[in-house]
Amino acid sequence: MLKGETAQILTQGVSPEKIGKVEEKNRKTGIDAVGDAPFGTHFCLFYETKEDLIDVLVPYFKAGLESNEFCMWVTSEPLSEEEAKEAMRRAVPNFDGYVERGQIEIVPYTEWYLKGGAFNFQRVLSGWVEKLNQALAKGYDGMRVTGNMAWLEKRDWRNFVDYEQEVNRVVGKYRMLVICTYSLGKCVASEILDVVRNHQFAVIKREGKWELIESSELKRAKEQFQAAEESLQNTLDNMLEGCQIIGYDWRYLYVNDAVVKHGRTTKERVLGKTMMEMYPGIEKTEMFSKLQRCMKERVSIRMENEFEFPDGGKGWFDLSIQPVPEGIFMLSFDITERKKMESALRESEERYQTLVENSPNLVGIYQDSVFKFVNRAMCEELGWTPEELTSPTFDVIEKLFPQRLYDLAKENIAKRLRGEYVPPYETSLKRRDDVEFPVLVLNKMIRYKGQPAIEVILVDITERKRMEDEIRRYSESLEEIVEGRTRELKEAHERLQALFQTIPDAVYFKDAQRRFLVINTVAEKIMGLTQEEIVGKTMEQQMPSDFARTCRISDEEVLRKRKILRFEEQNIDEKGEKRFFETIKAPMHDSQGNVMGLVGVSRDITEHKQMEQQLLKSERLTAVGEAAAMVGHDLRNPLQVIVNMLYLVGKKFKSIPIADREILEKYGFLDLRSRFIEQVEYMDKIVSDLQDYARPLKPKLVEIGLHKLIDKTLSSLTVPENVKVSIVIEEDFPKLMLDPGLMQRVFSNLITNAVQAMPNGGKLTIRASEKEETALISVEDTGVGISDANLSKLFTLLFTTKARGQGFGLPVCKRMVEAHDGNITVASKVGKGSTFTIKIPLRTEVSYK
Amino acid sequence: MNEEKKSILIVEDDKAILKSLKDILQSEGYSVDTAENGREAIQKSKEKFFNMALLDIKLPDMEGTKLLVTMHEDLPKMMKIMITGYPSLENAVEAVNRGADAYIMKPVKPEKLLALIEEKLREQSQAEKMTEEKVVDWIKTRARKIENESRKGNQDQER
Repeated sequence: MLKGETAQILTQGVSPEKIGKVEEKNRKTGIDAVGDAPFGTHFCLFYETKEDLIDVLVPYFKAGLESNEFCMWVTSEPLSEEEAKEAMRRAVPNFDGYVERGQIEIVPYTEWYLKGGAFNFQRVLSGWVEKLNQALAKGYDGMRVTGNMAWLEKRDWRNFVDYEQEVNRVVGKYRMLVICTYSLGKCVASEILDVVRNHQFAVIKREGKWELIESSELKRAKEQFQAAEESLQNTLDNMLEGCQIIGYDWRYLYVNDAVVKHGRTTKERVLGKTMMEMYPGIEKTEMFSKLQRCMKERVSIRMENEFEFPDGGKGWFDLSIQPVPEGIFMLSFDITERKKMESALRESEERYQTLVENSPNLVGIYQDSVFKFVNRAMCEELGWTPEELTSPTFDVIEKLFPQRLYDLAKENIAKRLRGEYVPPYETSLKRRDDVEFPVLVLNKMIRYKGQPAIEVILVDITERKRMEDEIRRYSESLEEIVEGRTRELKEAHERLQALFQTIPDAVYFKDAQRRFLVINTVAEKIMGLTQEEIVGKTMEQQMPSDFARTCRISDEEVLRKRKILRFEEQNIDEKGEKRFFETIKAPMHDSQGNVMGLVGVSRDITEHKQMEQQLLKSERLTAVGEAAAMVGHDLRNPLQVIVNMLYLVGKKFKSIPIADREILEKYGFLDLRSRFIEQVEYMDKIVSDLQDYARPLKPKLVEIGLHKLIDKTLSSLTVPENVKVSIVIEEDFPKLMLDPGLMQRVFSNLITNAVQAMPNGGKLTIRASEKEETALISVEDTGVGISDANLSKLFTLLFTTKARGQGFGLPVCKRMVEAHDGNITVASKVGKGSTFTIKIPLRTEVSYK
Repeated sequence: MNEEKKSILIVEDDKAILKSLKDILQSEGYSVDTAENGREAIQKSKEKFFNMALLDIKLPDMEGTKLLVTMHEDLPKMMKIMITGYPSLENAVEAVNRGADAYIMKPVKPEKLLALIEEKLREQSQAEKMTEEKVVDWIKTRARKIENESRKGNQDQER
């Protein structure tokens, strides 16, 4: 059983709930009603006769002697010392042997309680302990005593109650069994209660039988104790701290689970063994010497111990060693982790220390207006020694700040100390030699030695400031450059804008989605849309689908191939006429090379196209003309043959006799011949026209009178009688420099046309006049006239309104007149007639090269 | 018309023209021979004397102008009339420079052609007469000259 004091000791280290019981064998009391009881049991016996006393006490001592206990019987009335011995002798066969060996002492109360004449309870108590120690020293397990209180006077009662209380308190600590005997007849009720209260239980005889009576208080306490015991046992076993009780002989009396866990063993292997058996060599350790001291001197010891296990493992334990009745109690706490953390913390602190000490920044701890700590950089930078800087007389503000900054510095420090946040700020410090330098101040509220302090980190920003100045200077010059560049860009932009708007081609920019970004005025005109209408839209949203589709295809090709490409596009303008565009499209890139869109330049090449087609047509006509000339040449020979034949026919006709000739005339042969001749002449003219058109013209100018030329022309033509010809030429009309052959062909054609325009007859007028060095010659008819539509095509090759015309006549005339550096024009009214006018510059032979 | 028939050589590769022209000239009382190419024309003109040749400017084996030049060298007295399908002054001038006596363009009107032939033949006859007269003159002059020189020579010797 764990006793009060042990429990008390336990509570010093652990909570009171953790009190437990120490395993120990009960002692035989020899009293049937009581049974077994442990050392420390203190109870009372109420008797009436001296037989009652013998009845209980003799077996009590008999058991004690037999259990190797020292016994002491203090007798009083009604049982004398001798009667007691006599009774013992009767019960214990070898009683005198016990007496001789000194295992039992039977003494009268006068020699024990009243030794020295009066009752002194301190003396009596220490007497018991002395007796016990002597007994233990002699090798007895413990001590068993009894005392009769019959001698007690009423006046001593209170004093005795105190004594009993004290005994009750003290007995628990020792290896003792105590019975106090009280005479029932002498005690009043209140006294009986006092007695019972001060003993663990009472033994009393009722109806001839001994019974055990416990006080209700006692009972309750026992019950609580019992309950606590169980849970505490449990808790003890489960607690992290190791609990062990080691006996005086160094045997393990109790160990909890934590102990065996720490010791890496089991309860079975530990209990009953000595420490030396468990841990050989332990007696040489410092811990063991501490344990010895506790065991002998009964003092508490606390220590931290590094323990080495039999398996070589090590662990740190906080040991709390207390003396207990059983020996010593040891509470151990595994602090291995804590030790590791302490070590880690120590290292970390060292590292931090090193860091701070070697930091290029100035680090200090400022408290109570002085530096408590400064690092090396602080000293070196500022030019003060660490002792000076941390001196209580060192005025930080005055010594370290330029005068103008005193107030600011004070204000910031005060703010910080009030607990306000002060963001990092830039200021200037001065060195011992008064040279200023810029710093960035970082400050933090900390606790230093339990008191508020400011941790200050000063970063020297001289270099940074210099860089900033440089950057500022650079950025200022950059601004100038940018301004200049902006101006250049603006000018370039204006130039481009001017070019953009004045370029005769359509120019437009599109984004990557082919939406128009900007277009110039030409583009607006071509598309028939304003900038506002088209910007942000694609072609297909605003234009005829065919044109939009071709544009889309070319746009996509440019964007895909990322190349400058050339296209020919067609569109229908607002008049419904087809327009042709030559378009160059180029992709636009950003600086990373991504395609941002495209720029297009479209040129209207419709006129160019038309010229091209005209050229093509004229080439075709030239070919036609050449073919015609060939045909004409080839026709010449058969034509020559026919002409010859007709001549022969005429010749033969003249040579035949008159009678036969009349027959032929009668049958119309003569007429047929003349009709043949007529058509052959016409064929001849066609062939001549064809050849005239084809051959190159190089007029050979000769001086000639116009009248003569016209007369000659008219004589070669057959003018019907219903056409009246009049020639009106001014009298002083000069002679002309002409190629007579060519001009004769011109007049011949014009006159022939005029005659043909007047199938029903009319008037043919040929006029000539001089005007501003130019000869005006006109051929005028009163014929059918020419429609406006035909008028413009009149001089076009192969154009004809005649059933039998090839459209060579007028073009040939035109060529021939132009070969004379002149021109030919026509005026006509349908139904009124036409006038062809030739203008030829007047010149002398000399002036003509 | 002269009692003696005048002879004309027609050089023309178109047989139909050749035939019709031959008919026309024969019907006018000329002695007509024909050649279809330059080579034949040269051959015939060497075998026989012709008063006149009508030359087409285009022939299958040679240029009419070439033939003209050849004939003019060999037979300067023969009248040569060029007939061309390409009427141009250059052609005419060139033809004349190379020895042609006349120049006529196709299509040729038979009346015009006959008039031209007659005219040229008359010129030829007159030229011949002139030549005869000239020769007589020359001989007379020459004789007189020789006579004078010999007389003069005699006078010199006498001196």
